[in-house]
Amino acid sequence: MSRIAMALTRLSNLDRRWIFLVILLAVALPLLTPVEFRASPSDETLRFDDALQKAIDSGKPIMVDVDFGPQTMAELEPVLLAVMHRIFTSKTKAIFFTLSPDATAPTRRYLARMEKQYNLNYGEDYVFLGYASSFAYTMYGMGTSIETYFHSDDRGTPIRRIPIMANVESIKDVSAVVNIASNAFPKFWIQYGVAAFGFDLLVGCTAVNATDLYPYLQTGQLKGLLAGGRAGAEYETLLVEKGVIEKTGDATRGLAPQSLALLSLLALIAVGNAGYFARKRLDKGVGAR
Amino acid sequence: MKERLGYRVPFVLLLILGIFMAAQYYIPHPMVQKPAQMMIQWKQPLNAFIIFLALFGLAAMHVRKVIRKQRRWGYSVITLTSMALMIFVGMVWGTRHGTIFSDLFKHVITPIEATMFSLLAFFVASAAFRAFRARTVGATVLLLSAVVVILGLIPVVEDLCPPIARASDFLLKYPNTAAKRAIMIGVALGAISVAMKTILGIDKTILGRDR
Amino acid sequence: MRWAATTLYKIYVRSNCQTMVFFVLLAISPGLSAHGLAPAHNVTAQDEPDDGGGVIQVRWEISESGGVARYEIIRMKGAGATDGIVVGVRNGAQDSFLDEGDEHAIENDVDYRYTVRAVGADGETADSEPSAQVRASASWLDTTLAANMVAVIVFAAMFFVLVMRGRRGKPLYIRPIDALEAMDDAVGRAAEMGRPVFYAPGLHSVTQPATVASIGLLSRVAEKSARLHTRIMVPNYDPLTWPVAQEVVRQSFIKAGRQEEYDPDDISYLTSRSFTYAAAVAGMIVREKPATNFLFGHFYSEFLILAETGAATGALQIGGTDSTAQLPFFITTCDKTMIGEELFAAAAIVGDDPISRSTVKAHDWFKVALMVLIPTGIAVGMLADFGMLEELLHGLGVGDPAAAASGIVEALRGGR
Repeated sequence: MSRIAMALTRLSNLDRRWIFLVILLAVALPLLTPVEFRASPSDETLRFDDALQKAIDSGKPIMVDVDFGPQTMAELEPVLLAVMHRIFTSKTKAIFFTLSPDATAPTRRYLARMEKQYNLNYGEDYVFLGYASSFAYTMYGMGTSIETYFHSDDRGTPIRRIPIMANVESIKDVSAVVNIASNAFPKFWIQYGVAAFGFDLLVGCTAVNATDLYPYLQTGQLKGLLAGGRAGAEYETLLVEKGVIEKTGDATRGLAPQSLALLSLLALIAVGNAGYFARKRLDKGVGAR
Repeated sequence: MKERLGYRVPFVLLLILGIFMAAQYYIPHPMVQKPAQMMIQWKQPLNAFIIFLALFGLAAMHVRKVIRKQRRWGYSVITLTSMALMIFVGMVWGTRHGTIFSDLFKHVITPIEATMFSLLAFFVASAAFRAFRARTVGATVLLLSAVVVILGLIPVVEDLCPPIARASDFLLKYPNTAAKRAIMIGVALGAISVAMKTILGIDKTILGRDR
Repeated sequence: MRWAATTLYKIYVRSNCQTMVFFVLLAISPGLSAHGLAPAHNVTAQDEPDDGGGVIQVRWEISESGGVARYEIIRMKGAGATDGIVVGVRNGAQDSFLDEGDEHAIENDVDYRYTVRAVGADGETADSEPSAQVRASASWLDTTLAANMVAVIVFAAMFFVLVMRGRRGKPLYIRPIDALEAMDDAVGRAAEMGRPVFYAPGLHSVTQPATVASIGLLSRVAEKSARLHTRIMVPNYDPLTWPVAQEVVRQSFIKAGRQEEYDPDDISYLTSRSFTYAAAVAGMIVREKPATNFLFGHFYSEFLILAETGAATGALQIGGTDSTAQLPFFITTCDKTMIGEELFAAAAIVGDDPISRSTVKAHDWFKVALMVLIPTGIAVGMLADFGMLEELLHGLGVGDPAAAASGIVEALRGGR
């Protein structure tokens, strides 16, 4: 008995490197096997889609602010791609831009893919305005004039000469703003954008930042939220059900490694606690003697 | 005298512009909105100056380290070389898609940063392993709710045991959101108070002054 | 009339009946068309309130005849004008248009009138009577933000009252903040161990409140370090925060009388890319092994890399942030944490300045007000949901209880 307790005690002080190894295996092994999980759409995901549908129905263009770089690509790329498929299958015009410099290159790549798949005309069906600095000022300023912050698009064409921008002077002229972000920009969009100009905001964010945004979802300042890879997987399932895409994508593929990593985390926590109580009992035993 | 003037001018500017920018939020009239928008636009060119400031500061520090042969000055040489290389290729061939600059960015900086980010998965695990111990009643409650939330995030658990998924959803949406709201209200009040102290000159840290 | 009748008769006499029918039809055809497509009614135009002007809301009642393919909204400038420009198009079922002057701007304080033209499927048209004159005007106050403004004014008033009290030097009790109390000892620990103190001021610019608060705390840590001959390292992420941090640390060293020990290179600018910053700082922590890490300000997901590295090197860590997303990581990795508002409060009381101290009381007063207001709002909202608010107002002798109840509910939900 006391030998087990001793072993557990030792486990509770496990070296960090063993923990790292467990997590590495938990993430890597499912990626090497064909196991795939499915996530059924939650109420939140359905709500996001309803809000996007409303924006599509209005007939106005949708603005998409892409704010994630290579670091969070695994989590947010599937979310962005799903939203893009949703917009472009419904033949809605979309205006893309970014307030984070590292999002520029990936956004170009995704849009090129969409252009090919849906036969889109640049400048008419969609446009990429590129990057603007000073995010808070830009968010607030775009409520009155987009041209002030984006004089020209990513290819250097003045935005006045871009057909899709003809009737879009400010954010008030679009049906919704969709922000796919790994940082705190959604919160800033609420504070500097929605609070001042009152438009519909939809957000796709990392799971870490989701808890920050729930309060705004409940107040209605945020119309829809897709939080992290899990919500991305749910949205993929929904889009397959709706016939927007043929098969689920990377978010769904990510569910298995994510689940196994979470289970190993639980196991580690359990071991840590077992060790903690074993030590407490041992200490008590020593004290009694 | 010069010292006092040097402090007073920024302070008076801060006072006037601070009050103006706070008031313009409530006043949609063009007489107020136009100058406010103009001021917001000024921030863009100012950013360029800030980048220069950073660039020169960084370069100067590392040059000093190399000249004085301070400890680990080799790192400074690497920093300066990479900096010069990026500036050079960016200025000569541009920064657009397909240039050397964009390739360096894509194939060097991107993977390095992605690697740093992926370290989070390991650090979350090691932090959770150390922190989630049922030491006190409070810590036990925290531990149990963490377990429920983690279980709720696994799709299989959701299918096998729906009540756990519902409990996880409840914890995230209600107790968690309530606590966040309370903290957010406090933070907002603190932020307004810092802004007012700064505008009124009670707090002079922003001007680089000891209070 | 007589002439027309005579002419018709003549035609009738001279031609056969078919020709007659043709001409009759021809004669009445414009009338038929006009009777077929009725115009829109009751066109009204109204200035949009709470804006900078230049926007007019046009409304109409849709044509009774039906068969309208679209409505063209025509704006006429000046009181007597009859010609106008088409400023918008709506489909046959729509009955309003917000004229924001997209292509032809609306000037403020100029008279305009609007006509709505019904257009049938085959291109026939019917114009409505013009609306009454309307002027777009710029508002001096956005009333939709009234609740927000009242809250700010109330808070500002509390702030001023307390600052005045602080000026008179009235002592105010403020609950001690654990993490703040521990700061001096933490610097002492570094001095005893002969290792540096490390201070990260967060990732936001010095224009953001959390950074301002962090810089306030930095002055205290720097002064204490200077007094104890301890090296302080401040790696910066934001290029604007960096010179401010340098100046604050320099001043603190001067104040402690240890000017010659101040090294500007210890207060360095690293990079403005968050994970590169995390890599650089983690490297510094591993190499220099600081005895104490102070992490105050706004951080993002790179925080855990800094703090876990610090924990692994055995540093004592004291942190504080306004970032609610990172708070769990602060609490799991730091020995002492300032949660949200505590960071601002600590910055206010650290200098022992009575005026600055008194501002903390303003937060407390306002929170008390909110604690009363929020449950009251919830209670009133629930009464309204169950239809009891109207009864209650009726019982209180309010003239139009239904309107008053909906007004209250609107005010509760009101604003943005």
